[in-house]
Amino acid sequence: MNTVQLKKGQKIFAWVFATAFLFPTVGAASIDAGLDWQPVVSESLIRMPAKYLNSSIERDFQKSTLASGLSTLETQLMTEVSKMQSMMKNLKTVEGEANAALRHDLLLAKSNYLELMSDKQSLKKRALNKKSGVYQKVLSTLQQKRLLASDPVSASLVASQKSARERMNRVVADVDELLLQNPFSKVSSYQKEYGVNLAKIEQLKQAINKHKGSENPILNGQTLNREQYIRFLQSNVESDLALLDQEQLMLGYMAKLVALDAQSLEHELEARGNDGPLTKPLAQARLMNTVDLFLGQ
Amino acid sequence: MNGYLKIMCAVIVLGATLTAQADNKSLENLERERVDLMKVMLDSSLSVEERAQRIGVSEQRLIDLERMVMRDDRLIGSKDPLVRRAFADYDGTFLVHASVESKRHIVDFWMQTLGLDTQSIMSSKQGRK
Repeated sequence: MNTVQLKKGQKIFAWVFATAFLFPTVGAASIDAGLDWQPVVSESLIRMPAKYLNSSIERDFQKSTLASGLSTLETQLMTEVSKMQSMMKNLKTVEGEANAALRHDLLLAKSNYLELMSDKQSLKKRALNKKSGVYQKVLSTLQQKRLLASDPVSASLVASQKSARERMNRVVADVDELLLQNPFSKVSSYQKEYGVNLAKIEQLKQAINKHKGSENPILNGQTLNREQYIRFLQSNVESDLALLDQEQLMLGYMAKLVALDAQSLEHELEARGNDGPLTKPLAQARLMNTVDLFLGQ
Repeated sequence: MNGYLKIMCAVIVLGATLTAQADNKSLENLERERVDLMKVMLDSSLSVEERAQRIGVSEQRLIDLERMVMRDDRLIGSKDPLVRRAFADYDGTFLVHASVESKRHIVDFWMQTLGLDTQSIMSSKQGRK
């Protein structure tokens, strides 16, 4: 890059930094609105063992355009970082105009990096908000189901069903006896197989309860139920969002620093003049320096 | 790994579908059988032997169906009005088991649940409302 191009770019440079990066949200407008993730809170997700819930949501996210956009940005950021590192290394070895040009390039790289980082944070925030929404929806569905199951009408129905079962169980033997006495009746296959199947069902139930997939997640030695675990996942997302806010503040400060560097470079180059070295201040025409001119004639 | 995930997803979906089928097919079958029994009870074209035979066959089917309904965990806490009505009237729904419990013949028991006995029928008068 030559010096003329360098000078033209300076004012725009400082302006871009002073506006876009002091307010990171303005920079977010450049993100492709097509990058999205539409998670669905299905019945299977709600019924899924709690310990697999997070990985299932994460897998769904990885399939989205939002995740691929984030991954692309991550690659671009790494490229910018390695570019900046190599420039920083070279900066110590060059002097004069080449040094100024390299500093300018470094500022451009920093600008790109900050812009990409701002985009990344915006996408990450979108993803975290969506994730938080999913957890919230699962949690409210579970709470709704729990409330429905414990409402007075359902509770009275469950009670009447329980007492009906007990009442029927008391006469099952009498009914079976009646069946044997009835000349038109014979023992049905349902009755023959029910007892056998019942024993098998009990075995299956026990196997399900013992299966490690049915185990509730354990956190710090404490077993969490489904609702507690989802609340824990939700609080993790909220922590990530809070950290992201903090990172956005850092980004703003970094942008301000780059803007100051750009301004400083601009002033330095202006002071140097068109052809390079800095203009020395004019020597003052002092009276005492001219005294000799008036003596000795 | 990918195949494993597909199997897991399919199984989870299948499991969710099977457990989510909170229908009341067992209760509907019981209601249909009960209607058939009542038709037999009220069919004046049948002889006494024919009626007794058909009631016996129906009773056997009803025993199974009543137990199926009672053992159907999917009906527990169901919001379906049919389920609520069925469990609110044990005697009317589980006719065979309730009649055995009260040690009465199923037809007598059914008449009794309707409030009909010999005395009330004999004391009734024919007329126009």
